[in-house]
Amino acid sequence: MWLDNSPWSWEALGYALRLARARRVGLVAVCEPSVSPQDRDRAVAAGAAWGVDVEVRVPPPGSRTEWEVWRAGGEEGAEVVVAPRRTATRKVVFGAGLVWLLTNAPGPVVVYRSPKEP
Amino acid sequence: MSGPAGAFRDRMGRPVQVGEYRPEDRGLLVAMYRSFDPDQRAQGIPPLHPLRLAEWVEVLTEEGVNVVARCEGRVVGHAVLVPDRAGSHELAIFVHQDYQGAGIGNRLLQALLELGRARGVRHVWLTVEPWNGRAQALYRRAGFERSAADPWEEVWELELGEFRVSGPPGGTPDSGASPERSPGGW
Repeated sequence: MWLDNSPWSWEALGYALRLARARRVGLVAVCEPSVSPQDRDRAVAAGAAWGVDVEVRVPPPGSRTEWEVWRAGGEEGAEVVVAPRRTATRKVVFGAGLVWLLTNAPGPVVVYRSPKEP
Repeated sequence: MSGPAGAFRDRMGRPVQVGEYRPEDRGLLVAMYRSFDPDQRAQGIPPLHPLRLAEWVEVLTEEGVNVVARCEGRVVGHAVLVPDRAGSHELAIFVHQDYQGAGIGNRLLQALLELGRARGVRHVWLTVEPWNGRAQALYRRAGFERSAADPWEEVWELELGEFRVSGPPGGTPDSGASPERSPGGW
């Protein structure tokens, strides 16, 4: 999944972990560079709490998060979980990176929508 | 409120009153959105499901600065400034499809920005779909400038100190626009 600092992304992580546990598979969390090392550890710990192995990947310098998510989805043959940004008026905003991923996805992409949001 | 807020006749000659949202407007505001053309939704709002719609209206009216247009016993337009986590305010505006192209959107926007400034709002931004030229023209007239763009979304911004009230108080500030439908719903 594509993990960033937004509350929607972390909520989507919970969804992805439940999905992974039900399928008895691991989860690759591709973290935007802005996700701190502590928060990367938090993602791994959240996986452990669900009994799911979480592998954290960070885009190397010169790469982009969407490219790494694309690569991970293709290499693992897995579906990808993403969470678009919700603005203050609750508009759903994708951004150029997510649009690129949706257009070039190597497999199914789950666009997570929080049941808490209107 | 003064200036763009108040009573006027729209381009179709209908009596319209633009003013700050009041709690007693809530039912009429929800009713406006329930009959809103789904094809004119923009970026996921207004929500389609009635329960989500009611929650959304509640969130906007509780968190934001809200202005509505009232006409013939109905609420026919709504504009809102919602504070974001960065200390700015995001703008959204909708005019019911039966009342578009009549100058109401411009009056709503002017009244909202004026009220926002009076409430201490300094920076306003919005997202708009690149193909929504009529909405972009509305924002441009109010002084917004595009600050970012990608194939699906554009970001427009305005410093409220630069906001200018424009147009006569008669509902014809954007004369020449036809009452065609507008994705994004203003």
